[in-house]
Amino acid sequence: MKGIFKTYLFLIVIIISGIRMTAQVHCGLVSIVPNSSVNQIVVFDDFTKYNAGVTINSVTRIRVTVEDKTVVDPLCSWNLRMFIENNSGAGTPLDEWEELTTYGNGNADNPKINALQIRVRNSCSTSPSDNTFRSFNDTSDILDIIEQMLPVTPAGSCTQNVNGPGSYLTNFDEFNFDIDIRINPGFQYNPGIFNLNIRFRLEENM
Amino acid sequence: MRKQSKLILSLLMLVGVFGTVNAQLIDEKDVTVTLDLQPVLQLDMTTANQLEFVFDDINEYYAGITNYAATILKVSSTVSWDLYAVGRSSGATAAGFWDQQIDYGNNNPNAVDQLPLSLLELRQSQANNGDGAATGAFTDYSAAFSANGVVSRANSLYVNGGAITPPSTTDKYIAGHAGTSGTAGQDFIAGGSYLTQTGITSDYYYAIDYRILPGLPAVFPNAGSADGTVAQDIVTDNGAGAYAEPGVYTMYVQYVLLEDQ
Repeated sequence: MKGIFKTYLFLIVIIISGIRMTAQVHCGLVSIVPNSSVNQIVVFDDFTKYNAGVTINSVTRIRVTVEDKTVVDPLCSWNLRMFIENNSGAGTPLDEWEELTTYGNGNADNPKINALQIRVRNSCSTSPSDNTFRSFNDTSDILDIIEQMLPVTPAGSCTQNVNGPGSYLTNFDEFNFDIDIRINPGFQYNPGIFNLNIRFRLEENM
Repeated sequence: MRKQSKLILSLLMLVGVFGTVNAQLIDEKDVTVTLDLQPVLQLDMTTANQLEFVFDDINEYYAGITNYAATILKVSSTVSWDLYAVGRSSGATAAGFWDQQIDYGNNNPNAVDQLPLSLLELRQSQANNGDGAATGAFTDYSAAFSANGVVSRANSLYVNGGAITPPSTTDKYIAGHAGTSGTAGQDFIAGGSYLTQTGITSDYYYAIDYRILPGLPAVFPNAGSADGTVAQDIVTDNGAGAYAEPGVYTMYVQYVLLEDQ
């Protein structure tokens, strides 16, 4: 009898944890097209670049497609956020670029993550941060393009926070995001080669 | 017992169904930015190809000859930097001495052809603002030239036996100094450029004056080690009665801009 009770208890725990780990799905598909990686090398090799910084417009384009399920769920909506990674598992401080190599004696500091600025824009200015350069302070920062858990704003409205189902194929001005980067290192950092990874994460809202 | 097994199986299936169907839909894309910060150190120098000091008048021996702002140094650097001047020659006469090209006169035994490179005096227009950690009496060349008759080694050129090696903490730098404290103002000038400076002075712009003061007899009383502790005039090095042999001598000043070290 005691054995049966233990079994039931175990199963109830599994079921409850199973329910907690998952949630109801509202959308049929979310995807970034294409989602292949981009590697952008920014070289500072003369004084003009150091003085003025380097801006690269449209280093990539985030094209979003979000589809309803076969049976349409009116709660289908999505969010898009940016994360920053610097291989901190290998010992890189949280607020610095990952060092690949240094030139010279390396007596100065490695560049800070906030030397990288990122701007998101599209024609409908759907992101509240549209056309504004922002930066991460460390790897725990997350920058929203479209925030999580906002009320559903349907495609085609060409307003802020469009997050309903739709596609860059039919609503390009709302579902396409041009990503620009600007780096202005100044003169205080170690010369060398450094790396950062920006991760764009598209999720359906739960 | 069998009933219980069925129940367990169906519950496990239920958990499996929840676990697979209800996963949140996510997609991701990565943009990796590789930053290549190449060091740029530029020393723009405006100067005559050759500075001539012709001593053909007795007043010039007494008063010396000064070439004002004969060299303009402009620095642009993306890294913390030091700048120093070092006296050099081919060493044909002797290492650490001027090269004698020709001599005048009758080779009097008191006439010495070994003129120390440190007899050349420099004066920089802007004091060294990166010498906080320096320990010598003279950390740069910013002192005014001394009056003739007053012996001073505050401006004598740094020489290290004719080698290009950097000065030590007791010697003179134009900007920055020996050491890597990492503290601004102690032993380096932070990266920057004369192009973006404002105001009437700048740590990235120096006008250099040159002076040679032979004295009479021509013993070059201000010649000395860069830290000012050792006299290198002709008499001290060669004994009483010695003087510089008349003739034509050449040497060169090498300006070295390098990452702070």
